Amino acid sequence: MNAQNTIPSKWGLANIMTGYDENSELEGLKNLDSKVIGTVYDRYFPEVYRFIYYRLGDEQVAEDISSDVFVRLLEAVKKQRGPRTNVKGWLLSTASHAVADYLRQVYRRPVEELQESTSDDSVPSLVDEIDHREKVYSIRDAYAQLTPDQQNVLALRFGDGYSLEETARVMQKNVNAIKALQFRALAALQRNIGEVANE
Amino acid sequence: MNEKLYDAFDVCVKALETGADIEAVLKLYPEMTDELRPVLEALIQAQSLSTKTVSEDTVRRGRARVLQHATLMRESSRRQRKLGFVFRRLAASLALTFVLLLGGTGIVSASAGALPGDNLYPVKRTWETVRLWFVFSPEGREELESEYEQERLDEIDELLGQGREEVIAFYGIVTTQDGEYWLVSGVPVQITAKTQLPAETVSIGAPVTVVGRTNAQGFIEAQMLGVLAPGVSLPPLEPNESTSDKNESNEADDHGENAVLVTPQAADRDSGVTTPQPQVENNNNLQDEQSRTFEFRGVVSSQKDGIWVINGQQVDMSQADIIGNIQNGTFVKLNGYYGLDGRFIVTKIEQRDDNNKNSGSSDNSNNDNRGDEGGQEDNKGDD
Repeated sequence: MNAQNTIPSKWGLANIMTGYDENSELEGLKNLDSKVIGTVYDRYFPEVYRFIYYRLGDEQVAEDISSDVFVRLLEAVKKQRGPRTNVKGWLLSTASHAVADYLRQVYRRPVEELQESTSDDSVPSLVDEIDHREKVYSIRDAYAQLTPDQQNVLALRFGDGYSLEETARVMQKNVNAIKALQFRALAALQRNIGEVANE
Repeated sequence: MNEKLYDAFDVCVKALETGADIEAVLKLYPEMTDELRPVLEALIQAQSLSTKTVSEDTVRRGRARVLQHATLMRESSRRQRKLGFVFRRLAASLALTFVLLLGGTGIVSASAGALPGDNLYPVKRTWETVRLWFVFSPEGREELESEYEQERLDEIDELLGQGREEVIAFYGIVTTQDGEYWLVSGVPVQITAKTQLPAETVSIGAPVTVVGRTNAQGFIEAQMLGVLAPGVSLPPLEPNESTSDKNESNEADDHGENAVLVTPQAADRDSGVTTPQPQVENNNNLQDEQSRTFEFRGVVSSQKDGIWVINGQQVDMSQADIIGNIQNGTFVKLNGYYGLDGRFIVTKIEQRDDNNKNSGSSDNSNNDNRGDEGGQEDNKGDD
């Protein structure tokens, strides 16, 4: 679970124009300034949460891992191993690795948690609810078979709603590469859904 | 081809975001319908995996957890800083000890008897500093510092005994002032015209620091003498064995059983002394600081609240055995000792009539004018 040591450079170092002084915020984080911590948390938590939820489909787990990502941020900054310029990129990169750690830890298919996580969906009847769950189950099962990069690009594009450009910056790829990755991810997802349906 | 397909897909996605359906979007690229349709359908499926809202409870719980963790980190950081200071000091002490034990035990032992000017003397002083590092309680530290000051006096005694000329420095209490010859904690000091003295008058009982040079004549030529601030560790007042033995051997012939602790120079000056002279008695029956007692003669000028002024000096009368009717102006003989705070504590005081002024003791037999001068001022060495 030690993401600080395993974070690749291709994620966390994207330089996104933020419009605020990240250096002073990083200094505030290093000093464990509660006000700065609160500001950073409020700004990025929803994006981190949505990304993790998209990857795992479990609200409770997404909540736990999301807050854990911010705890890792504090500890990394304190040890001077945190982000130097791009807090959001670092957070999403750490979230990606935290998800991977979680999946290794539970050693089971994330779609199994999906059944519990979709209980709040508003469906008109029990039959509809079962149909809906099965449909989402098959999609998540198909999604889980994608490569980590493919899962990430879909999570950023459709979980967080990032544009191609923003996704490219976070993943440190060019826009054309993201376009291709996204297309191939969706094509693979469609194939996987068909395979799951035939099983 | 692929780039065109990706661009077409991108346009379709944007069209879907505006609310268009797949069939309408596919009409934009009829030649690519077969490739685009499954991917656009997958896109719809992929969008279904997202969550649009993050509940306030989720945000609040996560925030509380993160801030709580920050609080724990702050407390942990404070504890580590505090412990870090202690451990750093401990580690430095242990490292020094290790080095000295492994490589310097013999040297340190050999340096124990070193005197100023000896090659091993710096080792001795360094080891003293190291030992002070290990003492953490203020009381223990003060006691050790006092012990070291006594060691300085012993070194000076040894140097004077050997007739060596070395630069020395020590702390002590002024116990006698006889013209240019003073006694500072029993060490004979010569005040010369070259001696740097403080602006204020140095009184008997004042704690001072002396820097000077020992000489073959058996005293210290003071180069600088300064008054110490309150609270400085001074050597203990009790005579140590070597001092007592030495003085007994030096002085027994002149003064008999009740040996007077004065230097040869002081003894030689007896005939020229015109003011009351303190005498140091070696009385083995007294204890601790009281074992080094002094005898003075002088005139009482003030008697207030247990503090009297005799020969211009304040003395503590709380323990005094008063013999006779003593008033202001009475000529008296007093015995007592210097307390740790430098104050002279009188143990016995008795009235002396003028006829006896000159016969108070053998070493004062030539002080013909003492009675006349005693009430005015003592000779404090402010020459």
